[in-house]
Amino acid sequence: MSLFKRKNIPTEVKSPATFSQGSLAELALRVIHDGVVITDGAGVIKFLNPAAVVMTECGSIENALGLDYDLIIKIESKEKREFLKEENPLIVSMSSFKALENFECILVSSLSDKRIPVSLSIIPVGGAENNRIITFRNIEKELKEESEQTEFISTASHEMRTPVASIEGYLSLALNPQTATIDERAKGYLTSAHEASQHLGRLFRDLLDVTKLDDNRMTPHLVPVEMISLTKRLSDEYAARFKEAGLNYVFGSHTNELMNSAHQIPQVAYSFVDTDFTREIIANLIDNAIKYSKAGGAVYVNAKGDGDHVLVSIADTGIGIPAKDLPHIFQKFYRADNSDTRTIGGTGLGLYLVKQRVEAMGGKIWAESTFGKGTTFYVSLPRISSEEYEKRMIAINNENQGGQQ
Amino acid sequence: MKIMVVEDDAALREIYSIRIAAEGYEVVSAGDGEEALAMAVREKPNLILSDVMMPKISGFDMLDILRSTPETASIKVIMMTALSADDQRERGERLGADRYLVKSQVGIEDVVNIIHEVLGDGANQDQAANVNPAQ
Repeated sequence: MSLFKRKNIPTEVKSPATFSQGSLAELALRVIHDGVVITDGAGVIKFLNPAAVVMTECGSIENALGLDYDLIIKIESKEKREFLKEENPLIVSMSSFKALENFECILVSSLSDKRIPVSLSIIPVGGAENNRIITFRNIEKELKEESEQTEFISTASHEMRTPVASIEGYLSLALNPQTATIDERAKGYLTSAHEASQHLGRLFRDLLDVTKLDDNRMTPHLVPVEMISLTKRLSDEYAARFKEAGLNYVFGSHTNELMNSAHQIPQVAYSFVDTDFTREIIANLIDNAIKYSKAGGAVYVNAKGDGDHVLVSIADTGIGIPAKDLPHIFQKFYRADNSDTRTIGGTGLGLYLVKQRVEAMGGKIWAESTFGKGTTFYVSLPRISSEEYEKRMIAINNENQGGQQ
Repeated sequence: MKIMVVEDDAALREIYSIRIAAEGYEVVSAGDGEEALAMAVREKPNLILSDVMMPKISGFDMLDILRSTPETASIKVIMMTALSADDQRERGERLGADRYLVKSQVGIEDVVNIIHEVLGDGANQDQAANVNPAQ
């Protein structure tokens, strides 16, 4: 809440000593730049401040009093998408009497087509009237700063990638007996340097991807796909890596109860996905499964239709994730901090990128884990019917005059 | 067999040239598309390994000119790019690239395997085939 944090209160406002506490509070609400709206239990507007009038363009305080809140406060997602009614956090919070804290979205003016990025909060204050306080703060400046920062990181990563690639390249020439002769000790040192340069290269690549996904420069190119065969094809590519790591790889069956229904019947489950995104997602989750598993363990990959979703799961019997870390694993640079993980290389961006890519395709990702026993990642994507799939395939084939496949 | 490496970064050009020469190929190199076109006519390489993002003439424009010039039309071309966007790949394939590689997805050893595969002279063809499965 930033109600009382504003620094730029207009100087012409003086507060004579004669003001009572109540009128001081009213004065504060009149001058702050955050929009404040108070409703009763039914969502009827009982109070709003001048900032709320300006931001919603509802004309005047008198115009808005007595109206339902949703007539003047309309929001879109940060990506400027309309919310479905049952997924609209404003409506959900208002009808459930649950608080909403600093939710970033777009405030759409009811009069013109003006859109303001805001941080929206809703505080149920209870009492006889069941009042709710709705506040919205303009975050245009913050977002601009954020995007400038993103651009800086993007440029910096891009500039650094070329020299890193040449360091890695020269080290690989030094290590290759076809191109150089070195002694055994030098070989050890250069091998470590080569691995570090590869790590650095991955870090810059991931950073670039993060900036591209963050400011929507990398958008998914969605095509209709049969997900079970795509998942199998992508994970089968890891057969050699699984073998090398001493892990048993099973596709299509699962130890987890959630997944074991109907896995015997050959199924098809169509979705509308970006194949490059899907490749990155599955590669990253399988990489993790291998990294955090010990030889003798197993990795189970599955994909199946699940109502109106396609559910892909990747389960390992590895070291697992402690319960306290589980809610944070999709955050940037979050690493579960224990001796096992510190020795395992990673950029700290992998799962964040996986989540970004899943969400960019309209999907959801979550993980279940028992520390010491293993972890299962679930990716759920919107499913399309086989008729829808056929229809879209025909459209694409017409476009490509024969298509690629 | 002669291979031409086209890459504007001098260090990467040297790395690719040395590594590819180690496979027993004769290697020539160019720093931009313009130089590459002149050299392609003069040197008649069997294969060109080229970056897409280059000053003067981009890799795509170079490929377009190569394919429409009778002396160079049949040279095998492998394009490398930092961009992974599908439309870029489609453009490369439409212009007649034999392979279109995304730099972050392939290492130098993969590139060597793919060169052998495209020229059909390698022992590692099965391995190389796995590197860049058709979409």
